[in-house]
Amino acid sequence: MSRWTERLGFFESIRRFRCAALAALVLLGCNVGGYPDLGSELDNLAFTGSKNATAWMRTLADGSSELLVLGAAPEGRTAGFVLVTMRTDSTGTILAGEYTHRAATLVLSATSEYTKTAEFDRPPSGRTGSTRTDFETPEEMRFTLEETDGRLRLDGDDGTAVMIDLWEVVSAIDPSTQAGMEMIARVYNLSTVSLQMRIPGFGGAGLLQYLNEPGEFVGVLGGRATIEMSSPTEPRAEILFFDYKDFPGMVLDGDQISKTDMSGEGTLTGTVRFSMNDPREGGTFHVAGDLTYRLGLTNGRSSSGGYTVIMDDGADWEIAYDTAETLDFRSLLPPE
Amino acid sequence: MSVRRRDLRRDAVRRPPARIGITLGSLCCLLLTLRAEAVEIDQGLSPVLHSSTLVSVESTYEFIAPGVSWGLSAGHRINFVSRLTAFFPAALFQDGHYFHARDYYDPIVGGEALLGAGVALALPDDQRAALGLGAHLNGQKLGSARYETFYSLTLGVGIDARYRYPLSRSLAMGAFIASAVHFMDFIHDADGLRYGVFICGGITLALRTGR
Repeated sequence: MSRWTERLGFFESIRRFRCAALAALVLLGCNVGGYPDLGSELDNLAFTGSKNATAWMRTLADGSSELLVLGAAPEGRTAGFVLVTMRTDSTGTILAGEYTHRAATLVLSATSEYTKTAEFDRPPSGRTGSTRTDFETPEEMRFTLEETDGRLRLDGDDGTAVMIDLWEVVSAIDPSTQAGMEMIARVYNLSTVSLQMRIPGFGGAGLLQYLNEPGEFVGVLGGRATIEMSSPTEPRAEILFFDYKDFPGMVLDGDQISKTDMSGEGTLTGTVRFSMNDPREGGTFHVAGDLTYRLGLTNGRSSSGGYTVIMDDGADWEIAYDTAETLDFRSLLPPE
Repeated sequence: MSVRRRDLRRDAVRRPPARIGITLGSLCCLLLTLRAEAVEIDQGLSPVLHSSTLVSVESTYEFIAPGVSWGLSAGHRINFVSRLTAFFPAALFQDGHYFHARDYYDPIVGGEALLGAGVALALPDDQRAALGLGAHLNGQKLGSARYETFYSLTLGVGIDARYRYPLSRSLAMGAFIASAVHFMDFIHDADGLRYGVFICGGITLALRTGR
């Protein structure tokens, strides 16, 4: 072995020692929340009635959106539901469980709540990330329901909510314009962010649990996604989508790879194939393409770059990160 | 309506003075050991049974594990004492509910280290007994692709009591029991550990040198 090779070996040893020391520091300074329950499933979502499920949407005055996905079930029978509340900064909550629809009464029984909060005032290693709360007794919400002309009117104790069929909202987008494609990117992000909310520890030190130990999650309506981290000192987190479907007609397939240092500086790359097909009878809206990430990350969130979207019809679009990731749909669906 | 919520958002309660105290205590133990007038080295390998009890804000976790432990003491009357143990939790309990570890987790691994000082007692017929006290670190990981990974990295104070019966001049049989109490978890600061109790014991085959 030459002297230079020996020296390179020495430097490699130093580098490994530095990595091990950094890993120890990361572990000593991190905070992954409380201990999980033993035998607690990473993903306990069991959605029934996914075939022919419907999705409903409304926006609120503060810019946040609510999406209600209802599994298909004959009247009087139970099926799955998820109620997603998404704020413009990509945080929010998901309530999941089962619902019963009898006569004009809709009863939602939530068994789990998933939460993703903004923790950007803390260093990445001090963030808890997404969390899940399982209710020992289901939380019930009771509404009087009226469905007419693609509108769902829900009268409950806290007032009235009018939700519009998600595809009535999406099919109003013109994908041949820059503004339309920016909105398509936001609709695309509904699925990625709802997955992030359901991954325990996402966005915080809790991601360490996926270090060389991939976690698997089913899509609400089908498919699956996996997440795996491959280095604690230079975190590389890879999310793989396999025909992942959280909302009717919207399917993702591909990968997202984030590489950051300990302060959350880094990049997000990868390409995800997406398709949006109006599942309603006679629905004509159809877009599909490949979305490639070229994002810079600061403090663990997007700070530069954007998406390159190449549609199946050959059109390609550049979309800035902030327009795509500000999940505000009020221009498309004004709050009531 | 009774709803069980795990509020994981409370601000982290950090306890740096305790960490610094334990680190300084370990250094003092090491210095005391260096003052020992003669060095006798005793190292033993033991199959062990290990028990961990972690009491958190919401639950009590108990893990029973087989394992293997290597103990070292160096010194004469005052000893430098260390113990390294690897164990593999097999029976898990949360608030009394039993979980067979292999049905849920893979890999399942734990390790702990004790570093401190102790005193040795000379007994008749070249028998020895020793008692050590020092800093104790314990880490455990129950990994799984399907279930939430359970891991902990806790620090506290431990004691180590050992007994040796000579088989020959340099070989001895014996036994040990070690116990520790922990009050901090480096990973789960926010919803923290109230306390942890660890007990480990086993039969030892020991090698004694430097006498």
